[in-house]
Amino acid sequence: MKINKITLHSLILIFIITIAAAIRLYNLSNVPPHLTADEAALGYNAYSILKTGRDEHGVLLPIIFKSFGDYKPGLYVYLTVPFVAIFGLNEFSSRIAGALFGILAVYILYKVVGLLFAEEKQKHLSLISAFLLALCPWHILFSRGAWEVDVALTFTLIGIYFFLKSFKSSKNLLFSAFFFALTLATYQGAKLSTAIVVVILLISFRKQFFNLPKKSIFTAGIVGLLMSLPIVLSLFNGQAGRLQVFSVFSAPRPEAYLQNFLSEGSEQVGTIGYYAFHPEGLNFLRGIMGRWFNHFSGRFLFFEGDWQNPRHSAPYVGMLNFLDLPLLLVGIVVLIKTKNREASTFIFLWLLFASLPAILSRDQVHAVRSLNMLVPLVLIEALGFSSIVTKISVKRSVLFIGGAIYLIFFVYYLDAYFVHLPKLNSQYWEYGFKQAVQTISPIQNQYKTIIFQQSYSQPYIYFLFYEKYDPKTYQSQSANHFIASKYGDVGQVSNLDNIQFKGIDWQVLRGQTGTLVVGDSERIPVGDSQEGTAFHVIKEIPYLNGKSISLRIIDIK
Amino acid sequence: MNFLNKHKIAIILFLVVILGSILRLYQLGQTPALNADEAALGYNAFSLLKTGKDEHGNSWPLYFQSFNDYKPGLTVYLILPMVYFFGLTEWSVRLLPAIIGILTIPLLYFLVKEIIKGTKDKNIEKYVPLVAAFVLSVSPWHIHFSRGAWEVNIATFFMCLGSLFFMRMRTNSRAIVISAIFFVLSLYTYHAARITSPLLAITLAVIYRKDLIENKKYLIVSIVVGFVLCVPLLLSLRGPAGLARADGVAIWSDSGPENRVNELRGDYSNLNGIVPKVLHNKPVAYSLAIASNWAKHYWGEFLFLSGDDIQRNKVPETGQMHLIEIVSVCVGMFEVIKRSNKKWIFVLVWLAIAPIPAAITFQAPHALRAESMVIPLTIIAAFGLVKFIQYFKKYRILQVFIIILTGLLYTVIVARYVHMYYVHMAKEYPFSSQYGIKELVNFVGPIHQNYTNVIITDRYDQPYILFLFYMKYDPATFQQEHTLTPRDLYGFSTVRSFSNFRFESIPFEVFKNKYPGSLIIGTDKEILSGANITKDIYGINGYRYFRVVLN
Repeated sequence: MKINKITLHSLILIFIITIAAAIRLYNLSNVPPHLTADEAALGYNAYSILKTGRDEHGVLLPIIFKSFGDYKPGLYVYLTVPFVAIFGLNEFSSRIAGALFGILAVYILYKVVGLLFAEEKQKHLSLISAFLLALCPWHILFSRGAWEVDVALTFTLIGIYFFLKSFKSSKNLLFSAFFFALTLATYQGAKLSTAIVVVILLISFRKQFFNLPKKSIFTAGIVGLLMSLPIVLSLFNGQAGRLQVFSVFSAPRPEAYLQNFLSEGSEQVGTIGYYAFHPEGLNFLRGIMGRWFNHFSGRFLFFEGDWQNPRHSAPYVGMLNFLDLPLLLVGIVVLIKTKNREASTFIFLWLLFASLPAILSRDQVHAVRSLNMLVPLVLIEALGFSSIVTKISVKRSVLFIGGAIYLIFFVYYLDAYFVHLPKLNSQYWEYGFKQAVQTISPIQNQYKTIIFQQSYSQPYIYFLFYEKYDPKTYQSQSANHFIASKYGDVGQVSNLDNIQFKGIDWQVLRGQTGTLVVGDSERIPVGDSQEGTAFHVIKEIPYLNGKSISLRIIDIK
Repeated sequence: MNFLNKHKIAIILFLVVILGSILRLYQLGQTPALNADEAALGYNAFSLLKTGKDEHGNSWPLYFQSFNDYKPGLTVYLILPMVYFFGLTEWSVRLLPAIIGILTIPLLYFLVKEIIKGTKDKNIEKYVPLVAAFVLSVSPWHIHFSRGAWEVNIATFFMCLGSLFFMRMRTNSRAIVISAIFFVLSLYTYHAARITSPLLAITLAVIYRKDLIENKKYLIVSIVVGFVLCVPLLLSLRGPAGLARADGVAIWSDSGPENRVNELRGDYSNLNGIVPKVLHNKPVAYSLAIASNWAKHYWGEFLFLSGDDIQRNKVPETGQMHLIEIVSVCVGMFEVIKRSNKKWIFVLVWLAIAPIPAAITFQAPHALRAESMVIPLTIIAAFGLVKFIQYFKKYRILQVFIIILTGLLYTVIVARYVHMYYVHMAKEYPFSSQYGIKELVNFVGPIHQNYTNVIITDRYDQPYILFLFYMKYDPATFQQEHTLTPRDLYGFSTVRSFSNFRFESIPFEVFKNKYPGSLIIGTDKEILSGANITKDIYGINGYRYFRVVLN
């Protein structure tokens, strides 16, 4: 029996998508080991919309959710509503939309590569790209969880697909504009990252694009602009605080550093020597270049991951697989030599500028803000993979052997993600709040006041989430308890019924008989709160590494 | 005028070499201060001249035992005549290495000329070698290690010579023998070259395999010559010298990866199950550590912004290359890969293998051990710069503007480098070299006999050798009266006393009673208030390094 070519091709594609789905869905509720505050907020707001049509602050069907005061564009919430309706409010229903869009991205990339390298007649290149995206650690990590950025990336890919397709049939340009606009409704950072993609597409495909009928360009432009308007306007309503707060331009070098440096050469600000050798502009440039280099460093991509935000990668591995290193090196060579100038320009420019949103913020590296970078990386790897395979032999079996070898090495990442991430990184995933809520809820009414340590982990949202707190009741009180940030950044909630969220001063609290106190072991010193006549230790929640304590729940007798 | 036109290239090359010389020779004696390794090279040359033995009494050794790090010896023999003619001074120790650094500039010109020979584009043939010489002449990486008796820079020079003569084989079949000699010489110069040079030679042999086969006679001669020259080295590998260095700094003496294996296995309930054993074991952990170290050498932060972590190897706020060269390196890589003929492949392979010696040690990136990277990077940058300017050839005015802009940017950035080097380096990194010791010896040397003991802090790296150096202490006496301590954690030893000098850390309260009638010389932190301080010793950077106490 002989399977014909087309069937085999689709079978492989189905196999790849099955792998992608398996990796993205397996044990989704428990790995990562805990919901982040953002995930809980997205889930609870979906619940709130489902029950009342309003968000936690009582706003009717908002486009942008105020949430913690960070004003999240809200498409992810609406995407989550049906899952909360079906599965109830839990980790799985909060995360599933992200996972499904992650799986969808694999298929979309397959389609995009088909258009991008259409002339090459390399059908297997699309398959390889999909395969490598399915196994890309960076993409897996952000697919598994309620990360808006991952959904935005999938919309971006759909936008690119329709953009490329519009050269065949110009009406597709309208869809392209539509999906690019959707990214803005999904993710804060998309304002910049999608703009980068669109500009790069226009530069790389300028010939084809400007041959399109003026009318289609015009319509698509109008639709895109109109759809982006609410989000773009919000910039001027002060609902984009984070952009300013994190921007690099609000951070000159420390005065002490500069003064010490200048004093070494008895130099002064304002002299010619200062402007020639130590200008502030050079300092900015060095900072920006440094962050840019970091996103291309072996440390970030292969060996350590996002070293500033451990939540953004699995322990002791990078954003990519180890085998991607040789693939990338070969892929770069192929990309430089390829005759398909449009595709190579597009991939190169995107690779260079995808990390721009991360570079313009203060973090040394940032895997979320630079997420788009993974697409050009995967495409280059795919070119490298296909080139190596075809160099060895044209037989299709070599392709399978290559894929099998890659899969074997991929086990190292699976181990890092599913075994080591939950254990070693549980503290970065806010582990302990769910367990605290589940302990407190049944006994909540036995206490007049419960004092819960306040933090930017937003403990209140876990109470709302895990108690399935009635949205209507909460909406009526949210305005009274929300404390906005002085800096236009994330705010906090001060109390919820008999629970007060505030800083813990143990010296004061330890005498307040009849109070339940929840805090970490730094605030509630273990030595001063032993089980005994004065205190009853209701529960200590350890982190999963077994070494340190997340939260301690103490009843003051 | 006719003369100028005719010899335009030669004149420009000459000017570039002059520029390179100024950058390498100005204040060579004092900026930076002599470090312990340089003092050891100089004093051992001095000792050989006076007694025919090194400081520890070994006669005409292949390796110098020195701090038990067994320094490959060629450098000592190279600076021997300098010490003979000019006496034992900083200048005489550093002059020859600096000159070798300067000679690398015209050498690179010829090497690049050989590499791009046969290019159809006449402008490329004409300008790339010159630009390469220029880029090297102002290269922070190359200047830094030309200024001082850094063995690595001499090894790099030999590697360039070896490569040049290898490529010359096509025109002169005897050149291959000379090439072999130079490659072997590099092995006698620096530890890391023992990995890099053979790999380079093998790469060349593979690339030029057809020419080698045609050239059987001289191939055999060069193999024989090379092998014979290597015999002393191979024999020495069995002695204490052979792997001494490797043990101290090698990555397998770092326990980090091993600890990680244990940590990761600890996440499994059955530590010795098949999965944790296959995924987390020493070979995997150490391979990853080596790969990670290797990759760090291509990190932009290291290459273009901040350079090495080790202060001795760098200038403040300066990368191993100039920041603007990111453009020429990227363009160069792009164009080189587009071409990828076999000579360019050689350059790329060199770039890939140069960090390997540094990758198998536990400090990475490491500008010193990976210094030969500067050669391929410079060649690529030069090619990229010329190509970049050629991009604008259709718009003549724009091209002229770009050339002027490049010139201006280089002027500013080199001026800034010089400013950082001479004004900021010693003050920003006061412990990067042995500042202050010369001043101390000038004070203590003439009077030390008046005291029972002179106790000197060992806070700053191997002070004994700098004392020997600056006092020109009689080597014959020293050989008789000293002992070397056992190796420390990193494989280094030191000398604790000679004459009436003692070198140790100073618990002042104890020593105050233990050594009456002695001089106690310590750091700010070691000397407590209330001591009878007779003199403070400042380095040329104005930092107070020592306080001299008359007890």
